[in-house]
Amino acid sequence: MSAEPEGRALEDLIARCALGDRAAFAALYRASSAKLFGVLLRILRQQDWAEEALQETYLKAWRHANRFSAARGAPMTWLINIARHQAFDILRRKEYRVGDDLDEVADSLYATGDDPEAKTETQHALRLLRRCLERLSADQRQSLLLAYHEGLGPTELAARLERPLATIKTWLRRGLIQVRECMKT
Amino acid sequence: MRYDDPGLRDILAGEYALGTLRGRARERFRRLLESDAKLRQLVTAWQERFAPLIEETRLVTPPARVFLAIKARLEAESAPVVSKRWQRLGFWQALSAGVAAVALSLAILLGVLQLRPGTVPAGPSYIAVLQDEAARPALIVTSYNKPSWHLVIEPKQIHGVAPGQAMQVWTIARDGGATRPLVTLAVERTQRINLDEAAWKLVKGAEFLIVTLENAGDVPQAPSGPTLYRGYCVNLKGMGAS
Repeated sequence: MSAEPEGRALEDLIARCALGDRAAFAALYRASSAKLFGVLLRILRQQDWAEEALQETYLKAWRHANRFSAARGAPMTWLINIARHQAFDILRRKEYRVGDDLDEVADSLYATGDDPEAKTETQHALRLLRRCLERLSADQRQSLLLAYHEGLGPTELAARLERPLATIKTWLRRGLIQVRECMKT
Repeated sequence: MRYDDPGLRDILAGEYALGTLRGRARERFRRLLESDAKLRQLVTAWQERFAPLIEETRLVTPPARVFLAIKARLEAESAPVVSKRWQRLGFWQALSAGVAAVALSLAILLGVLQLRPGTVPAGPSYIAVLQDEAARPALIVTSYNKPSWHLVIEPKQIHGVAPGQAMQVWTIARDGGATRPLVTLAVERTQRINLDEAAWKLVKGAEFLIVTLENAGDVPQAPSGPTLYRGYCVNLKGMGAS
């Protein structure tokens, strides 16, 4: 895999997609699909669902390319957001979640984030966020990370962590507020 | 609903970005997002806060069939007008990797090949599965060099044509992209067509086969009607099969 293209390059590709440029679309796919597929596999844990979600994600990106603007965040964040919500839609539709026996799938997709090829700026951003997450209680931190990485909702978190739903919801909300406040500084 | 409380709005935006807003609450929030630009900004801010976590997920290259499926769906959406043909061809050519493998697996799926491991006993040399705009397999073209050069064209799901019209099969060359007429298609039945050396060379050098709608009785030198079906031409002998 070649080095990650700069956000600027992705931005240009999305802009060209908005003009109907399919070569740009193919390039956008090549540049970003491995990342999105990892994200989708981690949340959906089933190859076929992840493939379905990836298809929908890129079709949406193509159709909504004209809605993208740098003001709405970095291009990769925009794409990941489409993918994650696509995954949530699929989970909702399937109304079935594979059991804990497939946790290994999710675990195998974990990367430490200190990949030597990763850009220093992204590593720096991750360190800042991690520093804020470290300030949370272990339960709060685990809830937020499971929700983000594996797409667990409050009910699933309650089952996984064996705590009442109300407790989980409180952890999540307090965790969010603390992260926001920490990242202001 | 309490969506005017600033504190609550931001927390809901955070929960939405995190993915913990579920069910009807999520649906309501989504509808609200459509018309509330400030709320969208809050969501974006949360997405950016969490975005660095993406570095903690490994890259996984998706199978080639995913992009092929995406491409097929985009093709299906675009109007089947002849002026777009070259543009679409360019798109096809942009994704050569994996296309052949997918065409082959599709062919196996359709049961046209009974491949035994490592061998293609007296089997076809080339195969193209031609699809319609919705990426449904429409016809399968196989070509053989034994006992003599010939083509077998097997219709799977093709539409009839009006009287006075005909379906023409064309080759599009791998080198240079020249479009050359190959044969006229019979709609109803499987055809076996003998090829002369010139026609065999066209098949051999083809990257794609396409079918266009033409006036019956004409011997067209270039497509004049819309493209109905298209398919990537796979060299089976070149895939280590024999």
